[in-house]
Amino acid sequence: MLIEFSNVTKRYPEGHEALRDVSFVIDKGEMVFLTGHSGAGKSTLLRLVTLIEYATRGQVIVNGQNLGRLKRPTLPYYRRQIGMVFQDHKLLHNLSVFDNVALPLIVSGFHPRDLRRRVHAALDKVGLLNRDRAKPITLSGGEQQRVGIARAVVNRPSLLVADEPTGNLDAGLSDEIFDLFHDFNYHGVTVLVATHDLRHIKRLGKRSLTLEDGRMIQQANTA
Amino acid sequence: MTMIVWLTRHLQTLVGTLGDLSRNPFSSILSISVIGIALALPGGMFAALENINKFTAEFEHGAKISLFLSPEVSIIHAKKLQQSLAQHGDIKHIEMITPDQAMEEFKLRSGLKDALNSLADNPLPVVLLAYPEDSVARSPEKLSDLINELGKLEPVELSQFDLEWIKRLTAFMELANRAVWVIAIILGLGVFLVIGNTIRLAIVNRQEEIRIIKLIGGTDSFVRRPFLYSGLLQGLFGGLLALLVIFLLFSFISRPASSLSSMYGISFGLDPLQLLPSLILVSSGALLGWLSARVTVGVYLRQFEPGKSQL
Repeated sequence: MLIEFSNVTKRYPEGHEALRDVSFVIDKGEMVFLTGHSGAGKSTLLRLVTLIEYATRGQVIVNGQNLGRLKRPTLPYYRRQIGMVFQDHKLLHNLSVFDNVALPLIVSGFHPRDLRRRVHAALDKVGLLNRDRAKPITLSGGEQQRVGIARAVVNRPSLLVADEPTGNLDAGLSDEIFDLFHDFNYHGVTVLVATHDLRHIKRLGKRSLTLEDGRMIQQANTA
Repeated sequence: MTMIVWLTRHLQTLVGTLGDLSRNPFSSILSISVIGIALALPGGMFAALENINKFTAEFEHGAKISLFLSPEVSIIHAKKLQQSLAQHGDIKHIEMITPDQAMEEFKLRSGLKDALNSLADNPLPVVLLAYPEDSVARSPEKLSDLINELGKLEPVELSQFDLEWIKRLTAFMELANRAVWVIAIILGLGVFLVIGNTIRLAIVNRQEEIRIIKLIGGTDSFVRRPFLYSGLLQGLFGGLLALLVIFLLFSFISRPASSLSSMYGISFGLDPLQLLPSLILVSSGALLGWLSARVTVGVYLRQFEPGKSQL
């Protein structure tokens, strides 16, 4: 298995309990949807996987590593195994599309010689190879999100995590984005996507985990 | 990580940081100027002290004690005294000025030749000039001991050190030396804070970038690097500016200084900082900048830890 939550509770310092006693397993190579109303705890769950937050109680194990015991200096190396896609893209607007996508490679000390090839491959995958010199601000919302996805996969992570990646996109663009995730999953990447859009779950026929008020109420194989 | 990647990264950061500094010329020039002025003050004072030291050393070299003998002492008697004093351990060398020689010199220097010619007798006493050893000349206590000792000799009526003010100056220099250190420490702290503040502003401006770099697996040292370069470069340029200020200042006052020293019969050129102190000044600027950036970034990076608001 790749991700294992055992009786995980997350309480924020101000007292709000975002996750309560959540347990589940995601196998290597799976594609799983995480659903629930806004405020149900989807983002918190992803924040625990990406180690933006620590669990208050319980155990989170990713790729065999117990995240509660991960040593501080190894944290960056842990995050490099995960591609993250955000609802608001989180692109750097002073950098070109190419540089945005190259950032994870630069950060991890990738050899400059192979960098261009890898970045172009990732941009090609999301269909934006011809926009590599553009600034993100000149792109549409859907294109910006595809740049975000190219950045998430350029490092060839074993796990792809996305938090409401199509939150601001219309149906047609959403389909394109989810098809991209589906394609990465087909090529062996484990994918965990938080979305409230149940349409994609039906369309792609993948397992979904449903949160309600911080509890996991359903672990359906097909919704 | 290979050497090539490492070097490429550092070069990229260096060039990038230079670019950042040139993109905000106003704030860069402002902070570099503040650093430059703050470093120029202790650096310039240090250079001034070095020059005063050199200047007084010229005097100490010729420091002498004048022994005015009683008028009834004959030249033969005085010669004997001169020979016995030449054996004295604290005296390097001793000269005698006879009343006739003194009168000649007096006539020459005073411009009262005619008046002096009209004197029947030469009222001037024999004078012995005792040049103390350098080690004695440099120590105010040893010098006073020697002056007192010589003053107590039977034929000596008055023993007088010509350069009393040098003794006072040497003591004052001790004090000034300490003061320069205190000022250097205080202003160094000021430079530290100024650079820390510009780095803090840069961090705030690049918060989003830092957050993203941390999320995609950037290490602390990766995040830190551009800021360290920024601090280092600001300190370095500040140090160079300080050096420039000191050199300009010295060239501005060098002419009056040399004409002043020529009045004391000394040929004395004003030296700005030597090579080694110059290097120390510039590199301490760079070091302060680096250190300040290091501390500031360290404090701010804690906000990007798991469970912290900024991440």
